[in-house]
Amino acid sequence: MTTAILFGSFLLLLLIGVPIGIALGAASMLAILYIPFLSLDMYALGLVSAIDSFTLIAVVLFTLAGSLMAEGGISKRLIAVADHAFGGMPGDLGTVTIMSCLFFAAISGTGSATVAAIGLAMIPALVDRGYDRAYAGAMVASAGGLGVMIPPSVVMIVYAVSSGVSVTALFMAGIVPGFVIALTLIGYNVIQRRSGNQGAGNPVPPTRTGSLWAALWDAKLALAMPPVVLGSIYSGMVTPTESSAVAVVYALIVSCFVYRELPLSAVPKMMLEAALLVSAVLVIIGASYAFGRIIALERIPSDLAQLVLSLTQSKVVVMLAAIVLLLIVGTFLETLAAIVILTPVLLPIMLKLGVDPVHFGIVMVVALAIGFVTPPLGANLFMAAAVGKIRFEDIARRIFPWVVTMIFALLLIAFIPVLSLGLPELFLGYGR
Amino acid sequence: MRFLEKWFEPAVIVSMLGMIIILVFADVIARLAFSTSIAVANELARFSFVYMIYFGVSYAIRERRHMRVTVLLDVMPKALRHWMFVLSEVIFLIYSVVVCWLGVVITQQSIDRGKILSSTEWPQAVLYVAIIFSGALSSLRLLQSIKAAVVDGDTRLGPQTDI
Amino acid sequence: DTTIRIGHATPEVSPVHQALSYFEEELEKRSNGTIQVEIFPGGQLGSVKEMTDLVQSGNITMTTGASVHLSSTVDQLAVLDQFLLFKDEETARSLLDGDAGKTISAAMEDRGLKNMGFMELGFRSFTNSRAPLDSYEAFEGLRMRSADNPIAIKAWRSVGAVPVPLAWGEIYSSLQQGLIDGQESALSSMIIERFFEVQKYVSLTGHIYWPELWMANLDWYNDLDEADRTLIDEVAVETVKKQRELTAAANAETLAKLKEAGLEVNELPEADKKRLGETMNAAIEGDIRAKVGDSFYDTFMQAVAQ
Ligand code: NA
Ligand code: NA
Repeated sequence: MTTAILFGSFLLLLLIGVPIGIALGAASMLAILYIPFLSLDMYALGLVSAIDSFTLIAVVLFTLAGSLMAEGGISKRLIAVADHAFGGMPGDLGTVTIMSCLFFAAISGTGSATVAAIGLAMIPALVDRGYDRAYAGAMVASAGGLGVMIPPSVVMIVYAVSSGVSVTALFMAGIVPGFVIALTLIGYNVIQRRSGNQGAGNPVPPTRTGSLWAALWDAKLALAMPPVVLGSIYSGMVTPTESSAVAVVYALIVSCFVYRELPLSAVPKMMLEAALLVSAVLVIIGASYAFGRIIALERIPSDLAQLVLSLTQSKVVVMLAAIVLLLIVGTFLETLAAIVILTPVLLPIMLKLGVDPVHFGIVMVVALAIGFVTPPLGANLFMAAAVGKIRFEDIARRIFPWVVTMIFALLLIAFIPVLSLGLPELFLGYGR
Repeated sequence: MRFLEKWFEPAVIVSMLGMIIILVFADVIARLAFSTSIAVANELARFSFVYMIYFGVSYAIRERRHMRVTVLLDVMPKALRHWMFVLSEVIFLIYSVVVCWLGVVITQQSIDRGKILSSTEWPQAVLYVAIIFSGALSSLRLLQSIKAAVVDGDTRLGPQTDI
Repeated sequence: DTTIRIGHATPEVSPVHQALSYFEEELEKRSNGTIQVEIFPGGQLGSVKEMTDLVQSGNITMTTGASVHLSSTVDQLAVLDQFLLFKDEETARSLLDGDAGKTISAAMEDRGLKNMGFMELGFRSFTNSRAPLDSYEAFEGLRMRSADNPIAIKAWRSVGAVPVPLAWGEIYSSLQQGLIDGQESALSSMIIERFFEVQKYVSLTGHIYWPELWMANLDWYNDLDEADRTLIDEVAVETVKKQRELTAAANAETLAKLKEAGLEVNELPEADKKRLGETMNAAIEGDIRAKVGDSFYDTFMQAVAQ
């Protein structure tokens, strides 16, 4: 009965358009009122204690760092490097675009900042070189998901908080899967170009000026960023949250004082924007505290685990079912909401089957990041449509094959655990 | 008053975020360069973060930035959609009033129980006050939003960005 | 009929959980099922602090937590943060079960918490990679991990150590990278967190003894009918006894494992222990007194001195 009240009222509130975090909170309150031994003060305690977390601070700081770098001239220099290094390769400017997203992902914590930064410059350039505008937008929206698959990643931070695994281990585990996604996207684009499928026209000869070395030198401060930020975490010098503060300061100095492409007066506006974005999603984390306690006290996760394991003991079947569920939920729901609701429900099942929690975290992040580009609620599609001046309907029509490509990569990541766990085992001694 | 209406929350939000950056970064420098640490930095940063988020929650109402699922709304007739929006804002309002009241309850409780924060040794109640503020400000913002929807017919949503 | 809901933050294999499972079985049996116990292990219901809030507000019935995590709820618990307060486990147990423990239980009752008994985590010891800590002087210049706690930092500095405040999860990598020479923890953590892989020496310094407090909502406890309360008290005493036995066995096993893993184990001589305790406690006495109040401090220390 509690389960029906909790999930039923949540769904109903969602469907009538109540904001996601509030729907989760109100549903939790109703369940608390129904359960005789719980009182509502527990809900309010959770609003504070869920947010009173040093780890979560990294969410706003990595979001801010990403937007500072998008506007501060760093993305432009990364694109120039990618253009020199990959412009001559199969898939030409498409490869460059996806590799630019990969580079930018290594300094940005979010998908939307990655789409904004790379899409703003690359969608017009792609169109110039004969790409269909909607196809280009769909490509950038998809590759923008790399923003949360390659560390730093705010989605990984929230998974770490929900599951109790180490942010550092997750960050390292995401690197290879991020490359796998990037390579499959590049592969799909190459095939499309070869078959001339998307109104490619004649490839326009490249207009690069200068050498790769000159571009590398010009981008040195931008390229130094991932080693500085991630290196300081992996060497144990700083925590992920501290590295996010270092990233913000570094981005500020480079953008405002070295490149001088971002006036200092524009910074408060960007801070407000980052804080608003993060508040609108973290309100969900506050509400999720009581939700998590209620389902634990009602033993919903362990009952569900028992039910699932009584149906099948096959890791493959359960993993596939989880992926389908994640993809469906990701289509309709916001990413962090999906993480805080599904982690406590799915992780116990996975642990009982011997799936590693870091590996499952990566599967979850990638599956939900695919949700970034699935309509109706596809944040990266909205962003790509906005920066590329494309109609949402056009881009949504073009997205399907990209989604299939990413699902293919997701299956590789889900069923070859060493892709995720290889690096943390090698460098962090994880799991021994 | 107008000025306050527009700038009060943003001023708090940006100052809190600025505090967070300074505190966390200064603590890193203190450790790496001077082998010491700022004992209260972590706790003050978390304090600022709680205030930033809960003021952000109320300001996001003004900007209509809270994320909603619009699948069902998108297929509804326009008039019905309009009233669904009003209904959802009313539910949000009830929620915010309850949260404000609960904020008062837990603040009172934590004072009665003598709870303190471990580094700054401030009363823990200072954190819970953020909930009272957030609930109250959110209620005001929601009244404004409902008025705009009912009187002016304005139900436009702000950008629904995921992260 | 009563349902007792207990949340705790330790894993299911821990002595705490094992003992609470005994509590569950015995109580359900001896009450003929009129009392039901539900245990939520592994931090499912939150951190120690959060669960303490839930107990105080009556949302759950009981929780457990190391005294050090609870001094923001019950200030007086800070007296237990003093060093080398108890000579050995036997002394610690008899003092905590006696008058010294009663002063603490009274302080907890002021905060709405009923003390169900002092479980234990055992004495804390050191691992490091520099040299065996076999004398008072060996602490000089030792770069060690410390919690982000001003009083502990002050105490370690007073004996010449260099405390580096680090989060719990960062210890392993910091030891590996040589950011710190060593760390202090319960013996079990040296295996669970795999510190033994990156350390050479284990020194049985026994510098601090933290009880694992087991507490219930006071109003709930007072509202129990006489027979139930007597039964619960009876089983609780047995549970604490069992938990202490399990902890002692687990610690002996852990020590054997550490030796097997090739770590060199040494003890700190009694004289050096005494000196260490005196210096460190002198450095923090003012802070502790300020936290717990002079009269509580004196009463507690008198009880300990008996
Ligand atoms: Na990233
Ligand atoms: Na979606």
